[in-house]
Amino acid sequence: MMQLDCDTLIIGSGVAGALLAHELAAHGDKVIVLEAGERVHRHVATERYRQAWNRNLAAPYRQQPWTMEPDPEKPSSYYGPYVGQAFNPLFLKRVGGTTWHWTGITPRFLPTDFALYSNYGVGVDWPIGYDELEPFYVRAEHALGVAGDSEDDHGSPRSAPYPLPPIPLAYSDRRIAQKLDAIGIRVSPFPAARNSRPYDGRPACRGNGTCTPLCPIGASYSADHHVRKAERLGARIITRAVAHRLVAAADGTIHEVHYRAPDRSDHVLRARRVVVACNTIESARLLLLSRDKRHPNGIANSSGLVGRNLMDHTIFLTTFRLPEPLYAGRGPQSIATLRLGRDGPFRKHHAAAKLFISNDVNIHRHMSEILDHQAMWPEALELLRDRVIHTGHIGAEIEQLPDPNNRIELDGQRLDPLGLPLPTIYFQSTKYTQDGLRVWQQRVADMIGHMDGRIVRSVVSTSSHHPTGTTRMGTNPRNSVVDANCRAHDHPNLYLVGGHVFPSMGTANPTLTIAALSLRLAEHLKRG
Amino acid sequence: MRKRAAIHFDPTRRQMSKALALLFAGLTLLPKPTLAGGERKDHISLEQFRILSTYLTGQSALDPGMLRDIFAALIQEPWGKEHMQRLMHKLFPDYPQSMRPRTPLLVPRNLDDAERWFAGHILTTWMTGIYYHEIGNRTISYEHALMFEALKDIRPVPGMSTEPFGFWQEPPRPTASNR
Repeated sequence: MMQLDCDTLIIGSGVAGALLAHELAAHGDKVIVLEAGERVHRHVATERYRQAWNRNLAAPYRQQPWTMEPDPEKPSSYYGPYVGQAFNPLFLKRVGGTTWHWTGITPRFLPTDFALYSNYGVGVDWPIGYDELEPFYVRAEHALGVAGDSEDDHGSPRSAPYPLPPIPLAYSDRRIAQKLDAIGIRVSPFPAARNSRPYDGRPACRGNGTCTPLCPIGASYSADHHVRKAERLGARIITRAVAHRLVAAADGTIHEVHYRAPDRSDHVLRARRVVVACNTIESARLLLLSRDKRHPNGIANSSGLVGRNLMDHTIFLTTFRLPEPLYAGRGPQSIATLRLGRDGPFRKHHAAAKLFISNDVNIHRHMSEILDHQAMWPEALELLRDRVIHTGHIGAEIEQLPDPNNRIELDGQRLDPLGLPLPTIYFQSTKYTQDGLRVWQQRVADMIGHMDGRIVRSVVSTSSHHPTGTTRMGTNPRNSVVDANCRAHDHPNLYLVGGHVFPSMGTANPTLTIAALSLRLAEHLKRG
Repeated sequence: MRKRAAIHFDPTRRQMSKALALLFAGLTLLPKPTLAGGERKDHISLEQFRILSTYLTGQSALDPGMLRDIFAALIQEPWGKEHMQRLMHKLFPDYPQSMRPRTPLLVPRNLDDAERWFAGHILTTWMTGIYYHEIGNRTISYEHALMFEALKDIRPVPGMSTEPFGFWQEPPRPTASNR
């Protein structure tokens, strides 16, 4: 009998892989986690951020010469030339993954998000319903430390309270809320994986205002927390290990996982079962990279859908100025949501949206705009104060339907530093989303008009850095990649977990649902 | 030279990058200035740079460490001393007898291209804490950048809060001089 290195081999140490590793290690499984990147030390990352001249999402994180991730300043170096619209979801390959630079917002999906086709005749239904995932939402909220108002379910019925009381609205949120209340729009705090009191060894938020790209004190959840917990329970983490090939035996079982080290040496691990828990782009890339004679389209790809149905939330952010002082930018970067837009019969015709008040005031940007004009130099700081005090932002993340033409493929020309083909993106926003964008942008413009605000700009991007799809879940092996338990239809011991298994994405930020799916998979694997 | 991008999501960051690229593209394309009327041989001191910085920024209480570091960065440039002398002479021609500036910054024609570039360079470094340079931008100071200092009574320096949980619920109490 073949010697196995572990019971469960997990590829990727982001929120899905970290929670799964922790659960299975606690269960007594022998677990190995492969992570392409390295460990992040928070104090080092914080200092690197302060010393960076270009303080973008990647600023706190050291470049890793053996692998590639999208560069915020030049995403095409990873994604290549675009076919369709520019589409630049950013993610991190590190121990803890992209939870190092997320806003920590953790709404659940709505029940209708799991049954979009049945309710509205668009998109597809999930093979599982809200009720089936609800207990795992509860567990995910406890694992991540979600702060929220237990009396307010945001449209997603709850069986248990949040573990932490809600993050209070900022003064600016409250002023906007008072004005919008007059036209029947309610504002409330998002649930967020950000400590409103010390929790699970992490401190309460101090309002540093740099949730992205980094919480300097760890008040906001990052998945390295559960990686460390898993290690204490015996899980082994191999960093700088770039998984690049899954090998299937004749019976379909994945019996080898190949990874490459920074020195280009190749290594092989064998496990009873393999879980691919990378981000949406890299999970599909790994399966496509694993093509061989028996699997010419890649592993788990008899449906031809690996890499397809790529989705993300289209986002817009409208900046405005009010006559009265708002003092936005104090506290966490995102606290408040506007309670409209996520569901309704309109979803038959155009996309839903999750509207939010951004509390992220970019001081440097304001300063730069002022310095651009010599006439403003003598009063530069007074002008800066005025702009910072009176500026607000309202935006929305807009639903995208699955479309098989939106996809990643392997690039035939461009290789990463280890000689592995990079992905190429094909992406075109659908009419459904574009119609939604117009509706919600106008709605926000009307709200700002109601507040006597002056719109400064409204910018749109095809990506909220919420890439999903590419290995979608379903009951039929012909039109999905994994089953309702996240098991690959084609391979009995291969599981995929992450945003990539989402058949549709609704309007919720994906991380909590990824966490819930991971905990649900853990229960399934414990039984097996 | 380019300035930093926004710290949040794409649209803002991209738009800012564009704006900054425009701003700094102009600066880098300027020819290295030469002195009209012959080079001044005057010594340029840290104290003179403090006077210059105070005038340009409008701030009298400049952080001494940052002052020293910006001065050191400038003086190491092949053109640094010459530019400081020239701008000092233009703005404070009667120094040290008088420290009254002669040339209001507000009037663009009072500074030629080279002087305007250099004044902008000093001002940008003080405001942002970042020394922008064609061969490599670097942070001179994070928390003492004037853009953060000027807002300290309103909000903590990003990433350096010592405030208690929830302070953001209430409006700040700006200092009397900043209301």
